[in-house]
Amino acid sequence: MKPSPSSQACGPAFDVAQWAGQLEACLRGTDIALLEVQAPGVCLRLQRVPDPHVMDKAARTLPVPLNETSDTASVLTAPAARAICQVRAGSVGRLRLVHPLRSQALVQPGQAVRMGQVLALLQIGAVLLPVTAPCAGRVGQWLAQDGALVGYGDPLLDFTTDTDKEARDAD
Amino acid sequence: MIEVLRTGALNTVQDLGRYGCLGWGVGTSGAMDNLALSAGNILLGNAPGCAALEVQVFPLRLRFLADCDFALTGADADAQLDDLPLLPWASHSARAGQVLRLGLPDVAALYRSRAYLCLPGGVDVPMVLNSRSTQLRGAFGGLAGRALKTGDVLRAAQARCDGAALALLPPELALPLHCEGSPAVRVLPAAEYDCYTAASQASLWQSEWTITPQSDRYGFRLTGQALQPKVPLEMRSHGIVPGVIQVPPDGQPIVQMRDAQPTGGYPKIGTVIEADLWRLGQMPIGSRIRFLETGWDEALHAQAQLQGWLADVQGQVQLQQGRRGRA
Amino acid sequence: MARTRDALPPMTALEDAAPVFSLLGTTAALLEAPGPAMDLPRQQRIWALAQLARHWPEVQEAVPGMNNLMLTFKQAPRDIDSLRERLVLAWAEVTPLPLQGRVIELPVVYGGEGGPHMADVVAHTGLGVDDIVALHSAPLYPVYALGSHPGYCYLGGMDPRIATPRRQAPVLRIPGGSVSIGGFQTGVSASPGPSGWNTIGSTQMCFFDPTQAMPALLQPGDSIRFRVEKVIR
Repeated sequence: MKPSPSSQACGPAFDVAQWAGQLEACLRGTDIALLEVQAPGVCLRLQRVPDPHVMDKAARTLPVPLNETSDTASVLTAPAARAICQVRAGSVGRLRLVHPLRSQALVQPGQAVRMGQVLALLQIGAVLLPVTAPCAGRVGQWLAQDGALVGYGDPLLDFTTDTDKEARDAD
Repeated sequence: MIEVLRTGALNTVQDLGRYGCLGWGVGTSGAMDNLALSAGNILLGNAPGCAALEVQVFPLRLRFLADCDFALTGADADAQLDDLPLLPWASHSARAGQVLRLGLPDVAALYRSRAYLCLPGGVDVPMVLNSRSTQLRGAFGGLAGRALKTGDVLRAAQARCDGAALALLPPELALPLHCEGSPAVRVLPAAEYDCYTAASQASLWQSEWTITPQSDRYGFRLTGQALQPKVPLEMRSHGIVPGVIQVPPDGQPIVQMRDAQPTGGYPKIGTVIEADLWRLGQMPIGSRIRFLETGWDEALHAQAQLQGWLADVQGQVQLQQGRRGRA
Repeated sequence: MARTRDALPPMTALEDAAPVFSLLGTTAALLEAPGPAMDLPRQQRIWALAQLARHWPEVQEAVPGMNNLMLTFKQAPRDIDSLRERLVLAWAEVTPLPLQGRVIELPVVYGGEGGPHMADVVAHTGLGVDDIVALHSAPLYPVYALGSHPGYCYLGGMDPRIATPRRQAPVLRIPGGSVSIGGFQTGVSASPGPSGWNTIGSTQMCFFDPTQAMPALLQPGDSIRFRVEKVIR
């Protein structure tokens, strides 16, 4: 399923991954180690993470072979960055981490997911609203309990977006 | 637009049935599970009675030839879109080229044997005598009056691919009905009920009835304690409706289902109420069922409960879709 | 609580036995006119009752059967007793419809491939093929009702001398246009399908066309005459 407002990490016209990628590109040449942005329904945090692999490459004198999808600049000069955002409830409802007809949780913490993948469900009466991944990324910690009654905008899940262009293109 | 890559026999296009034609010898047909068909339509924003594909033989493989929303309700049939598992009782979006696979229904998860595939605006086949249901005996209605074949192309009445996705809790969670651990349906006694022995009447209510493999959209042949009339009964041909429980000479009851003939000549011991036909229509072959004696007022109440569930779902789905529109 | 056969006391103005009202779930109600099997005057009363009841607000369709009437509901009426009283009263008061429909003549090829069970009728009745054909094609058969499958007519008026019981094992598929005898009744199938009756001949006629405004060729009140086109021995 494609992203829906119930995830509320991004509205229908807002592409978190693209925005995070643009911010990351801006931050590259700076000393800024942490940038946090709050907007209605969105919390976006960019944190610089040292990447030993890239620093190795930067130290080499030989050119690094390029693959089809890599960006030369990001491979040779910038450490990779990951954006952590929070997936928030787009509605009042009861949080369901397991579909009522299934026995296994929809996703596991640490699991890599693609954009639009169903992470959880919000139950309102007979309707189950999918909580979907706003972009490709990785499931973090659940911030609300299975079965809990949540309110509109309540944080549900820590989610690490995949700002790496290669990973995005692979979606 | 959808191309049928692989289908078993007896998957047909159905809506809620063809009414007003009994006087011409035309039975009502329609979905064996009218509730699942309606719910699937509601998920897509369709009128509840739009035509859909009833799948009762699995596996099924379809390829989308255009981007298209769709909904799947009824049996939990291990649905996959390309290699992505789909949640049951939900609407989804497909891109052109994607393949939808329905596998064997998982009856442990959900005790159901028929799935419904709904498309935006309904499956686009001609209306014949006020309905898009398939009339198999008369060879008209639905898709050219016959079951689905490999190579068939099904069209949606509307081209829509919103990507809006919703899921539902199936109705049996809100409206369970069991009797001593077995699935049950409510029955109103019929005209010849009093012609049966007291032991047979007791058998009807107290014993388990098994749905034999000789069961299909025309009727479910049950097996159990033979039902005996006090004296042999000779009936004149009379109108019947889906749900009528006939007792042929061998005493093993037959429940008339959606493709029932409009008339019958066997004695009738009872009728499964309209409000419970969806339950019966979903029961897999081999199921053991119970009949619960009921009265007129209770039967009307059961019908009102069903309508309430549908209205509830309709309201909540529209609310969610309305909120998306504003977002 | 449960409603089965609810016979009301006989109406004083009527020489008939009382009709019997019963339920078919919450989907329909059935009114049966008891008495000797398949009486034409009773059937004419059933037709008149159908014509009246089809306009009642709770009624979807009024469907005549063989000396009985089924009323299907648009929505099951809360007060079913009131409907029952209204129906039984109407049965007593209604004026039977005259038999004034069309007469359709059907050319029949008796025996041969289209009449595979003629020998069984011969064996049961003790009559020869020519006598059976003569007795079958003589009467004018009123169409009592439609049912069974699209366009199929239940006919009255068959000569009891050619009555033959239904078969032990039904035939899985007889072609449309099959002319058959089942017990004391005769009929013509309108489309291919299973049948437990004895097929003695075949006819070419379109009994049902769903593209027409009136899709069935025949209506209750019409009549059929079988014309002998050929006898294959």
